[in-house]
Amino acid sequence: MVSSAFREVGLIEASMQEQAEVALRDRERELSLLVDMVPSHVWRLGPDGEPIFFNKRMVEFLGLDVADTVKPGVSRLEAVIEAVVHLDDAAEFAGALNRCLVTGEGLVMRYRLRRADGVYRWMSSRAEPMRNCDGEIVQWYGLCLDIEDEIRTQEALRGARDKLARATQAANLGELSASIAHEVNQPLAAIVATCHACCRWLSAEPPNLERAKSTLERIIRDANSVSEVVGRIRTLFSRMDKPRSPVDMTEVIVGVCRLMADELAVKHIEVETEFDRSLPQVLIDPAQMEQVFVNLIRNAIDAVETIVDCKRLIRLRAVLDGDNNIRVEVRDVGPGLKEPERIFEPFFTTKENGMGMGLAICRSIIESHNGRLWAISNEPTGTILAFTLPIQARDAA
Amino acid sequence: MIPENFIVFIVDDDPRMREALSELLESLGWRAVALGSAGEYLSYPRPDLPACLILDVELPDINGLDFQKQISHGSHPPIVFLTGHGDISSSVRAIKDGAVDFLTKPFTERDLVEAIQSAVERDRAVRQERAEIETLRERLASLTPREREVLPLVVSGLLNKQAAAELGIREVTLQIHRSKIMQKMQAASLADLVRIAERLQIPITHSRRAGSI
Repeated sequence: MVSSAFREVGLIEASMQEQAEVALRDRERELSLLVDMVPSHVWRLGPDGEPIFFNKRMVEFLGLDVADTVKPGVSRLEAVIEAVVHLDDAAEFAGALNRCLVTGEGLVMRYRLRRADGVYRWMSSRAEPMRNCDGEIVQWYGLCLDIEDEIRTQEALRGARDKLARATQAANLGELSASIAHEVNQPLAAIVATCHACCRWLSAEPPNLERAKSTLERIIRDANSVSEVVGRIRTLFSRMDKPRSPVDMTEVIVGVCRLMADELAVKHIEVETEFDRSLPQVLIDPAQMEQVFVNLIRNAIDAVETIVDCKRLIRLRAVLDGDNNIRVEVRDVGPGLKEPERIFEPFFTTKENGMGMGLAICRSIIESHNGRLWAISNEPTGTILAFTLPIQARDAA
Repeated sequence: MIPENFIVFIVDDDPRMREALSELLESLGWRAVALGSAGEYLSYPRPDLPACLILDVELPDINGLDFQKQISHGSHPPIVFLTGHGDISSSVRAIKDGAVDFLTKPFTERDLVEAIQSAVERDRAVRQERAEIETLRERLASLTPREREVLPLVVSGLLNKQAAAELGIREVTLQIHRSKIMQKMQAASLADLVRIAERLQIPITHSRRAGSI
């Protein structure tokens, strides 16, 4: 009786264990199916960092499995990193991972992985340790997400924005100077041609004084129209005298820096600022002053952009200059200028595709605010563009 | 020095430029007609003279370079371009499309005069060529249908015998046609006739070998 009862219990236990094992296997299969279905790379490392497992997707991406990474003389981890991580990212990745293995902190990093076809793609990778009940790390679980498309989109966006900004500036200045050139050139060409005609009439045998006189009258008329054009350009710039309000100059500078932050970041240019805390407000037209800063900073960018061997740095300074003025400086560490004063001449440019109008406009804006804008050489290298503005800005006479 | 029987067309939308150019050309003793747009130029009855077209690139109704393309198939005089701001790509394009010169305002008298002279000379040559072709065409038109059949065979180099066989006529008859053709086309020799045929683009339909019997 007793023994049969024992046997029964034993049978029940055995069948329960069998059931549990089946359930466990099912669950394992489910999990591994799940791991393979995740649209990311899943990997597992031993506590010492040796790769143990890559999921199916990762194996397909890399074109190799854990077993394929054995290389004599180096650890399996080193072999994997060497085989699949981009050369520029490998050292950083190995360092970060080793740090994690030592400290037990999670890993968060972006790097490029080599796809089976040899193309590198940006990945966003995370790894977390799994600990046993004693707190010891038994395994590392990693998840690796392909972010190549996202990175590409961001780059394209940044490129487009940069291009747009440049195009806008070029279009504005380009249009302006082209229209000025056209307006001046047209009557000038007429004057030159008419002068030639006048010479011909005078050197005819006998001289045709009647015609010479009428051509001279036209020359005078056309020359006057050139001076009218010049006058109109003057008014165009002075017309920019808009109502002025007391403005904090540092706010304008910070605003412009924010506007140009992307451009500065893309070109790895650092901007340092030094502002007098007690800087009084000045009466200015903020929009015009922004235009001045965009021009000055863009000049500085162009100057430092070519630097490769040391830091690309632009220093912005706004300080009190005596009791009645504030002084603002934009310093760059670029190659500097040969003729600092010439850069303010209209149509003077040191740039291949510059119009040479930017600084001329800046100067006319500053002068219309009763200020002064000039350029000096920065020591040991580069240029300082500085301007002063009166604190009590009186209206231009 | 080129004789003065030619005309210079000036097309510029700026009245001061038109006036100045007309004055200058007049002081040189040349005939000029100044017009304000491409449309005005097209509707102007052009006299039958060698000419030159001074064309501003920036016209009110059409871009000068596009206008050049548009009139390239008609019998228009060679073009000298004027522009306020000469960029290399437009000047290259203009010259490639047959312009004589591309002058940037303000230009010197010498550059303008040289450009006009070479344009007029070029037009004179073109007009002469055109006139000669026209005369030859008239002569060709005076041939009878049969003679027009004989001509390509003769200039293809077929022997009289072969040409006669080709047309199914007697050799003597062919010889008569042939001498009539020489007479009407005013060709001094067979070689001369071949040259004339070439200028009139009469296709060589038979080679002696292919037509050999």
